[in-house]
Amino acid sequence: MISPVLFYLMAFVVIFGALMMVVNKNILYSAISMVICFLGVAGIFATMQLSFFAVVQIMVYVGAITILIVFAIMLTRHPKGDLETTNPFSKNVVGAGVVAVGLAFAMSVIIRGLNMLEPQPIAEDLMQQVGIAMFGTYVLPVELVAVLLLVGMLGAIVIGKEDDGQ
Amino acid sequence: MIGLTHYLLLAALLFAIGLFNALAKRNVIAVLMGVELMLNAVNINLLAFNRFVGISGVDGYAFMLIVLVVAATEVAVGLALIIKHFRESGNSDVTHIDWLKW
Amino acid sequence: MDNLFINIGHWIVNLVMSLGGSETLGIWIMRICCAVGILIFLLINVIILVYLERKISGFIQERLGPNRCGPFGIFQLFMDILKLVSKNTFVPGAADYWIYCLVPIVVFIPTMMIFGIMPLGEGMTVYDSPVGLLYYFAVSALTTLILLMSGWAANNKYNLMGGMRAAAQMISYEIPLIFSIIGIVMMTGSLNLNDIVYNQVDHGWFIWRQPLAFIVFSIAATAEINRNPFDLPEGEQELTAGYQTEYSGMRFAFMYLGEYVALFAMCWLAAVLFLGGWDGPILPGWLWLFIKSYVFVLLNMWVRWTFPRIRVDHMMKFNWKVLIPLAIANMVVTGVVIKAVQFLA
Repeated sequence: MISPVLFYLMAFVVIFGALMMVVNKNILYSAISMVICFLGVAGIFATMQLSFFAVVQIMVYVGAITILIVFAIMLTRHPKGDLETTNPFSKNVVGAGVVAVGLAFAMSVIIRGLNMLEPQPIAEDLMQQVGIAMFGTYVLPVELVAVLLLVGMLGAIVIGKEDDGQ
Repeated sequence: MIGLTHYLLLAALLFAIGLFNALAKRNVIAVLMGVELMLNAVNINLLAFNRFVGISGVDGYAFMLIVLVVAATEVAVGLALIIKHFRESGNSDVTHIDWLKW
Repeated sequence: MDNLFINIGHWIVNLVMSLGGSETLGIWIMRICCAVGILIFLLINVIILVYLERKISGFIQERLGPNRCGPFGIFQLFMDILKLVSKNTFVPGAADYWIYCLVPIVVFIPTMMIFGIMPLGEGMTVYDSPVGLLYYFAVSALTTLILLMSGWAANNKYNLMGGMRAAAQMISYEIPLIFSIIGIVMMTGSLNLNDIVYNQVDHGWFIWRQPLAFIVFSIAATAEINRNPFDLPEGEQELTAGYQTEYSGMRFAFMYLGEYVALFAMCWLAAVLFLGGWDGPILPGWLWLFIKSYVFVLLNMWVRWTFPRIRVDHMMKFNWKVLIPLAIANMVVTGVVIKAVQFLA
């Protein structure tokens, strides 16, 4: 039911964006590759016929988080350096590579042992059900996350303020 | 035929790339971007499981939205800390954050 | 007359089927023709909008506006584009080459993507998405990022300041924009734009039922598309054209085009959400929608040439201290009224 062409195209966009993000020595290009990765992930959600989550992914990740990261990149660069060498690899590259490849291999071995399940048709009023669940069963996590957001926002403002000398 | 395992493999690969980014980079913001990739992989996993396995409940969808919000908060607070540290020390290098005194 | 474009679509499908193709091929070719048709429609509208802007600004400022090239200055825009095409397109030496070349290409793609889910008439939506309204806000988030990149790419402090102010303004004013729409979504129960229009056909236009939401939406929408009185990021007196400074020739033409397509998309959305979409007595639905969106365009241009520009800290204070509380109050009152009506009936 899910078209293989679309899935492989979106999967290619995701992996391409993630790999470009790792390889780039310029941190701003790295952030733009991250945007491509996020758009690919939104496409992956869309292939699962979950259009609401694809749109929310673009709104939150590309529209807010990426802009925060780009602002932070612009605020934390050397006054006279250019951006070309701001994203080098550290001396743990080989160890990190071994860990990442090992983890991917281990997870793929486990995943291949699972049954291949087919997509069932989705309920028509899925978003109504999610809304009812979020304010019914899951009202406590939603309220806690709202408080977390408020506290995080206040904390970020307080930490990031410049010292007035007072 | 595209099934559950395709999505899980994609999420596993994305998680591994994010982990590599978080471990092997010297710029603090690049580490944060690696963490964001890992959270995205978790989101794909949650949605894939709810879509394929638990088709009658909405637990995975609600949880994915909460993970999304927590990721956004974490980026905001992390970037505030990074900017503060940059003002104090003048460079954004992970190997320079090794003072235990403050 | 009402179903003119729908009949043209059916005629294209039948033509392909009679030439030997299958039905799905016919439907795909009809969709491609729809997309090309919408593109041509948008470009023609942008030409009309730019001409209208210059004539209306002249009229409000008691001068004539363009009246040399062609009768009533109709060909002025073509002469401008000819001049822009013939300019020397260079890349500044210290600019970021790839981003500088990429930004003018992608600056209007998100706003043109909007017309894929926007109803152009009754039954005339290219893709009737169940989350159409939210798609609009995702797309304007993409536009924000692209403006930030345009401010960065030219390695010029005016550009950078303009870009950062544009990004700060756009992400701040997205919040009252979305909150003011939530009242409409609560009353309709769906994010689908066609459902919203059907609700207005049944129960009355939302401009009467949600007046506060309309006021907050118009102010936030004007700020979201960087139009005066909120066009500080491209203020000529302060920032020498802000985030568009170092772009010349065709690159500037594309960014200018992007701004007008964004204006047109926003006015179209406002006409669908608040003025009842294709609802109207005598004329066909798509013509009514066109007229209503042009009412909003003319209103926007009138406001642009009447009010002075707002200072950046006033703009931020106005957003966080006035617009967001008003939008939240509207949301709360709407929810309470809906539940009270359900409880009493």
